[in-house]
Amino acid sequence: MIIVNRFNTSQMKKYIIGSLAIATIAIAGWNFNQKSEVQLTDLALDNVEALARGESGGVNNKALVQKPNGSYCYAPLNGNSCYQSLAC
Amino acid sequence: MKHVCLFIMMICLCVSCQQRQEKTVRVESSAKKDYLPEEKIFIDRVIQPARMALGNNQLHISCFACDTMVYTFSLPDLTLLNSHGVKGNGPEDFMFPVFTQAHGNLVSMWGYADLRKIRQYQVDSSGRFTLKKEYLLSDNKAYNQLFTLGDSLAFYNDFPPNLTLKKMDLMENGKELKEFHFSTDQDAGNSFYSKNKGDLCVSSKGLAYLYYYQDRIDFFDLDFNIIQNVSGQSGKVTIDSNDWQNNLVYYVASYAGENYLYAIKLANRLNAISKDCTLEIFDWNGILVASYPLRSVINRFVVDEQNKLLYGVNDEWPDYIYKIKF
Repeated sequence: MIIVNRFNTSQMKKYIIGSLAIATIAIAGWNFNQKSEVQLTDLALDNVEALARGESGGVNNKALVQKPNGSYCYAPLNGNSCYQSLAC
Repeated sequence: MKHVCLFIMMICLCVSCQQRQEKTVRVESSAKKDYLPEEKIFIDRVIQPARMALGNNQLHISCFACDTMVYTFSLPDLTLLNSHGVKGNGPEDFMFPVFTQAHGNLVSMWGYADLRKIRQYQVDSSGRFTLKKEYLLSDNKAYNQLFTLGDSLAFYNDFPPNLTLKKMDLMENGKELKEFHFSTDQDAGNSFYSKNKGDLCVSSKGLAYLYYYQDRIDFFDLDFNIIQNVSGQSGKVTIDSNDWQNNLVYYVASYAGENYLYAIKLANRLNAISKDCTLEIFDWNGILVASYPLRSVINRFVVDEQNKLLYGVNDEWPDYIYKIKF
């Protein structure tokens, strides 16, 4: 019985060490993936920030409107008063 | 104990595999978009393109903020051929030049100092404009999104303050023939923030109304009879006039080709960090025939249907013309 128990204990140690090793590899792999994702996101952000800049609507004039004084100007896409529009 | 250890190992392996699988899917979804290749062509003129038209292998661009207001470029090389028109109050002068139709070597324009006036020009190969016909509408007012069809018809969106499409007889001083009214939101206080706000697009084959705050396009015949509603959205439309950049917007630009309607769909918030857009192509019965992801947001554009080339402008880079083959 004692021999069997000793055998089981040593076998168990192997299993524990093995599982710890696999867990370490899995966590390391997961961390690597996480870092890759951050890099991709950063790259994507760099690319799209250029597109987002200056999207004020002021340039994308959509509708000609008449001011109270009778003159006309283009109102920007955002619907704000065309008094502020560069097109006026 | 042996089974416990095996169980721990299995869990570890499963967690590891699951994480890897998720990442793979996510990367694939961002990389999956097969963007159309873009060519950015530098325009050696300080212009801010406001309106564009295409005809007879020439690209016409108007600039509202320029001293000279209309520019004509040859295609596909985009060499400047000619420029004309100044801002002023004279009979030939412009207020804001807008192209209402370009067909072959004929180009029609509106936006003179006298807003009743529509002029049709013949453009020669050197980009020189020769007046051919002039039409006079009855009212001196803002005819937004004005389109003309030859000598007979004109359409416009009576916006703002109304969201009403109107059809006019060009030969009878713009006599109103028919109209189609969209409801405006009671609480919007401004038709810019109405959920039915949209852009009119007209060809000889039909009309399209592209909604700004909805994933929706309505197709009509030339008498405003509805042909097709193309809608991809089921949720409630919410518009915040105080935080307009946070509103979800859909169709931001369109072009009426003889064969197809071309629409740029943003389907995103204006303040979104990650932003691209989609070029959607519909036939005039409202059937989607093609859809292409574009890396850059195109704010206005024209299409050379024969050569399947889009020439567009991104407001962020007004010195460049984007040339996109689809």
